[in-house]
Amino acid sequence: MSVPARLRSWFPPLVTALAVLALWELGVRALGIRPILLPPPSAIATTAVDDAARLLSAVWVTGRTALAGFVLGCGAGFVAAVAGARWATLRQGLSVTGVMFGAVPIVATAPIFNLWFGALSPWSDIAVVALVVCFPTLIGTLTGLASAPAASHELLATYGAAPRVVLTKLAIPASLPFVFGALRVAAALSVIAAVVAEFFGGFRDSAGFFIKTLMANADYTGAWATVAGLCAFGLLLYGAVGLAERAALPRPTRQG
Amino acid sequence: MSDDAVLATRGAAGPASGAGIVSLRGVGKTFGATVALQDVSLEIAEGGFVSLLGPSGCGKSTLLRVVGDLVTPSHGAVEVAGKRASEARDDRDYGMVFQAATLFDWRTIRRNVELPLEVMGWPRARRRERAEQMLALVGLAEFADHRPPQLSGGMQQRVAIARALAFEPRLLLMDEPFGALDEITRERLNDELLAVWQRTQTTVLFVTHSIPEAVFLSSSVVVMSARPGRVVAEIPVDLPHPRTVETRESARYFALVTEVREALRSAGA
Repeated sequence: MSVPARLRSWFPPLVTALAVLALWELGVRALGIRPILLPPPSAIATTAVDDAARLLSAVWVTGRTALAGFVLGCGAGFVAAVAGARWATLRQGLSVTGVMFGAVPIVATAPIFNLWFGALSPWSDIAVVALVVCFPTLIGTLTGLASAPAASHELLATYGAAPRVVLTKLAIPASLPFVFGALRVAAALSVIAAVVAEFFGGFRDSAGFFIKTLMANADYTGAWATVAGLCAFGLLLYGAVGLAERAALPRPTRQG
Repeated sequence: MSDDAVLATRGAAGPASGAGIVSLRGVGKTFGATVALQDVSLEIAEGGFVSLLGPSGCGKSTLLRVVGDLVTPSHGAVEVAGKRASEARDDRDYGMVFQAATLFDWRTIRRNVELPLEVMGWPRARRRERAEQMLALVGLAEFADHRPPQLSGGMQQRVAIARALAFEPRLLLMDEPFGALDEITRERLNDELLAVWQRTQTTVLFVTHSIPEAVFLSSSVVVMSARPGRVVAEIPVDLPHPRTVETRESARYFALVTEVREALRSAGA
């Protein structure tokens, strides 16, 4: 992609984001909304800069948890789905089990994992994240693995291809667009899950704990700044998934 | 090695016996209460080009799939190259071309042609060499590094033919391969398919619902009727080779087209 084209692709989202921020700033000022309800973006930015060191470390502590949970949960979801595609009896149980796990609320799992792994162990929060992101990855991968047309399967059947070969040459490559779609959802979910888990006894230097404390002290602008930091991390993770997708799925330009 | 040298080795394999390469005896297939095929008996000679012609729902695609061991018949016996259909499949006797090209978008054209060879465990260098020969055979050598969506429907179908023939199967099964293409492209691909067939000596079983296409391509047209699917006529086509535009305009061609049409009509199709 040439530089002007790259700029063009960045331009619309950038303008949209700036417009939203400007509207927010002007709206808060014009309507005289109290900062306790909604601080203007300028105040949030000032707080973020003033408290940058603490903020960054808090976001990183939470981000680390989100990232570890993302890798483990998505990995488990993908592997389970592939195993389900390989052994049909497993697949039938998988969606049901997946939905059951997917429906378990974080508010219930967080205290339980604290009990299991210990409230001071990073694994309790990581396990919450993993459980949350596992479900969309499992469903996305199962859908993707079943997405190849019947004719493609017949084609491989005429080659006398073994089930393992059908999986590696057809089902898994065909599933990747669905898998990456699920990973995008999981990227955002992982940050949410990590913060919520931290509300139930995360590290004292984590963003979740930080937000809870700031709210208790009525430092709402500080809480907003932390949320903004988490959003930025979520965007980074989302962007990383997008880059991986672009590397894995070359998209040719159509002709004719 | 030239294409001709490679492809000539195929002829040397020769027919295994005097019997047809495909032999169907009393084949029937029911899906629930629907009788898709009833008492189909058919002999296909090695090296022949046989079309299965009939209206939609006459079971011609099902019959093709029975031969290719993709559908198990409810009755009757299927023998391919003197073996059971499943054994023939294990021996990689089948090349298959569907109505959709079924190319894998995540592979380049070259690697699409290499797909069967990969599955069959050919070493990389041989795969590559063969893919290039096959792409040259269908006139797409310069598109080897393109991806399927960059090619037109007709070109994609030529890739599918190259892929189907890459491992030199004894039998090429084609299920309405040109059904989704426009008339002009279809006629051009008919010409090309005949050229490829003559060079490779592969036996072709070809499903179509186009009378002109069946007559132009085939050494024999099998006419089927619907509900239940039965063979109502087998019409040998004695048009000389090579078949060209003049063939399409010859009196004999029109006479055969008429004969096939009459057979279809008398079958109530």
